[in-house]
Amino acid sequence: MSRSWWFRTAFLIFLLLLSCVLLMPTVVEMVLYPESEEEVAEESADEVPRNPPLPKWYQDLPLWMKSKTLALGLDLQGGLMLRYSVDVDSAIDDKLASNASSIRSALVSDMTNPVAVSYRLDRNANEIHLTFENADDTKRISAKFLEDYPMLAISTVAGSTVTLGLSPNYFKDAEESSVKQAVEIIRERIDQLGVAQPNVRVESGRNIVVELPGLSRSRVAAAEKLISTTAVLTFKLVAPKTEAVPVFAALGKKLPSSSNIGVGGGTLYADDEVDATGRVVVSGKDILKKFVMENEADIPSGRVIAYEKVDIRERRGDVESDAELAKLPTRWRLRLVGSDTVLTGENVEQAYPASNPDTNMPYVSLKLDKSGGDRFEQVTGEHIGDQLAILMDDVLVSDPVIRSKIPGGNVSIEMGRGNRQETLNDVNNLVVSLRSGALPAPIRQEFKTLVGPSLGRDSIETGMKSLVLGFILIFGFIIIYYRGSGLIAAFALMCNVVFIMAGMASMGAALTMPGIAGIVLTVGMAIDANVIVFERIREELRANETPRKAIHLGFERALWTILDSNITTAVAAVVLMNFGSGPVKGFAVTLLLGIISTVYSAFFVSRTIFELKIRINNEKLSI
Amino acid sequence: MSQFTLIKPNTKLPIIPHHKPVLTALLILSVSSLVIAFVLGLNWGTSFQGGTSISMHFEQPVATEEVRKLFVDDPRFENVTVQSVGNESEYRYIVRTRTTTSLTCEKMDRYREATAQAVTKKTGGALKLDGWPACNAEVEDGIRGDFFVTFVTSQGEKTPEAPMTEEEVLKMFSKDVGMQVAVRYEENTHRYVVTPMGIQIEAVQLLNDHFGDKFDEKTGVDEVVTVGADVGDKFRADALVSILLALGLMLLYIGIRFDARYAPSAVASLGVSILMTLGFVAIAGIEITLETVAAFLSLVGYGINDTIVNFDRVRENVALASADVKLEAIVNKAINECLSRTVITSTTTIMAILPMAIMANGATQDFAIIMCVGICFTTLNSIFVSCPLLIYMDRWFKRMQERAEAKKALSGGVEEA
Repeated sequence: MSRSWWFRTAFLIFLLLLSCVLLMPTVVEMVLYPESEEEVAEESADEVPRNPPLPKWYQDLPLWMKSKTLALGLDLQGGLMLRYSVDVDSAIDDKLASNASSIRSALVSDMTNPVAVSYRLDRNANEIHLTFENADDTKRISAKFLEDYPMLAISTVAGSTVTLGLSPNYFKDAEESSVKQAVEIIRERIDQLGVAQPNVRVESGRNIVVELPGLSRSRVAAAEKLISTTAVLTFKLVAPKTEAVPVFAALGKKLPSSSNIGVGGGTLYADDEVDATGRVVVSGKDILKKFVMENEADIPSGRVIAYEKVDIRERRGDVESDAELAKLPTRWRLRLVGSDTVLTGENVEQAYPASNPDTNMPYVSLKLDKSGGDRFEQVTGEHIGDQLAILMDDVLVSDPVIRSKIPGGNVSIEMGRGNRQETLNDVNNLVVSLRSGALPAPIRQEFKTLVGPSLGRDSIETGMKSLVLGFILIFGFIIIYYRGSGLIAAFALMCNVVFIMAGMASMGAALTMPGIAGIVLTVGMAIDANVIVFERIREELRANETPRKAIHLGFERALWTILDSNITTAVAAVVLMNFGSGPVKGFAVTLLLGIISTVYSAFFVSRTIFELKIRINNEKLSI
Repeated sequence: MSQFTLIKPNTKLPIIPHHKPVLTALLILSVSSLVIAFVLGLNWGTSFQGGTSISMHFEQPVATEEVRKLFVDDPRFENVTVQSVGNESEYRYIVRTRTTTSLTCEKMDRYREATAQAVTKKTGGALKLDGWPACNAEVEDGIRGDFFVTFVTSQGEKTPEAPMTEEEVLKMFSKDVGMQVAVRYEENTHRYVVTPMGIQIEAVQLLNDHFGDKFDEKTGVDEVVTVGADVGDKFRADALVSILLALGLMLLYIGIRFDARYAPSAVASLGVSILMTLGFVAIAGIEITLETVAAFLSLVGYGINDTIVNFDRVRENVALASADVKLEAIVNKAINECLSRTVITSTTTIMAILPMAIMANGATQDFAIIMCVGICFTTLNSIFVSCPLLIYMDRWFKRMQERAEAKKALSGGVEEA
């Protein structure tokens, strides 16, 4: 045997082994021990042990060997489909408010030439109206001045009022980038779920569609929670106690005679309602929130309500021992904060957990971006002695007192609200939300559907049956037509299909119905390659060539014909890949993989076997 | 040992000498296919047309007619079609409608008036409606998803925080305005976020009211696809562009691998096949979905093979033949030599797909049917369209060459003089 033959044979065996390894997890997890579809109670959301468990030998394998399985697409196995819309408007509102107050303070506290100015926000028109005491000062709002505020442009100047609107294209750009960012963040979050072949895509404009094929019913709640943790982080100012106490006192008077809301400590509070197992049934926050909503009119304008977990150490007096303290349900209370936003999560460049060496309490360390840092320096300078409110959505997570001007954009957020473990949890949650969840805009779930296999189990079965029948017909035909050589072609074809499946598994692609169609088409193409070669060999045999020569010439002369026809098909597949969304893309990937493996199978697999056959018996060729 | 053959070796069918009637017939067929596609119109699916398609299943058998009547008689669902899909035992249906939302601009205008009246009445004139979603050319198919509503005082001033509770607004919408919504107040933006009940929710309600136990409102709906008309147009343009792009790139590749005579002939024959298949799709009323477009693109990729194989043989034979043999004879010989391969390949490929075309359901079946029919056309055209066109292209090239030479000779003659 020639050296090249041995080499090719070795390579073929290597490829087949590799394919087996790549397909092994799929075979074990999907075919031998498929996950049972029994429903688990929805509440026991987070960790459900796999049923049935995977065999021991499989569990003991190194992780890299079983990381990729060939999953079934949403159309074949069903799963969860969610649609979100990105609320760009409120993100722009937030930014507008932050810009407006920044402009005001830049003008008011200008070192060389301070001017008196007030502003009003028109949130519907997305405009800032700056009113100067002195009409001449309107000149201060120049194009140069606005360079620091790229989102704004002057729309009109009338008397002593300058109206600033959004700069052209800003809205569109902001929309595009928010949606893009949101998609990336959702993708990051989903990766933690470990679902094979999740699909996140922008559907139209602001809609984001998330598909999680094969997500079992028991994990739906966990998935939803993970995706929609919006955690919009905002920094506001806490209203002074002198203002807050009377507001809460007035609110307290509205409480019905019997209520699960308590009054005390200059505010209102409510405890989480827990059942016998300690699971929260109704959160104290929701109790408070409902009450606040009903009495919204009592909250002064320019102020909003925030909710805060009461530090467990503050409640030492309520119980006798620390052990009992730990068993107390979480208590929530109301806080009054300013409605203007000083900073948002967008200004946060880095966030990491740190620990105070003296108290051993964990805290969050933040690094702000340039504009956020400048703004923070300014606000902290103006409000020494006041409290800063750091809010995650409407929950106040920290309220540090501003002791001095904080330059440089380095901020520490202490979160001493409970025991160390709980604080550490809070710190980590905040850091995670800040890192992957500093969403540019809130997302809103619009639609959720638990998709059953869209074709139905019976339909999938008929689909599969038709596929198998197609294979049997082809194999039968080619073996009858080409006899021994037909067997070789059939073997090459089997290798081909195994390679395609392995390739798909290694890419983490999902098998969809269009993908199966792609495999069928590939089989057609693969047969074509074999037929071209075989017909050529027959021709050479008829021209009285020896079998060995005929095989050699047949492969030689068919080479470019096969390459040309496959390359043109590949062209179509590449175009398809760029055209398609979801399913069409899956089809294109399969087709492209199929083309590569077809060319390989035709020229290396069948040829190697032919040559082996010729070595054994070069007198006769069954074709 | 004898070989099993469908096409006997040394077959010498006089294809090229008799190509004219077949070529003419095929060209007429392709042009009339185009006409048919225009006249009958294509059955554009939801992805391309815009609209909503709701896949659902029932728990117990229902009559298809009953489901159809239910939706057709309801004015909220425009241009509705109800199709039974899957196996009989599954009671699965797909309801398709042009409606993407129950909130058309016209309706939104009416709702605006009703809301404005209701709020003035409810608050004794203290509040009036201010912010309401704009419905204009940009969102011509109405409002989809959430929208925002704000109220101001009668003097047009901004209200204190939350002028009405969520429940009040909700009640107002459901009772006074007659609109089924969910309401949430957004503190930081001072707006009410109103989530209208989407068309699918109305469909679920309709089914639940009518069928009761036979329909499970929680699990009955399998999938809802909503595509706006604007997105549909984009998809349509994308599909056309991708097919043209694929053809263009092939033209380029064949032009480089073969020469300028081969490329246009091959691509034109493919174009003829696509038109014929399109005519078939129009007559059969097959829905144009993303999968259907994928079928056409696969056809483009696969269908070129037959022509390439023929042309490859033509080129090989041209190189072997002596100069006095006419191209017509060479092409005819090449076709005959490749005929066996052409027939076997097409047969086997169709064999692979045929069970799917017969047994499978839905998009997969459509895909398989289009492929089967399309492969018949591409095979036929690779013989009767691309090969004759190659000969015409060759003649045309030769004429151009002669003309150029004559011109050169002429201008050369002038110079000499």
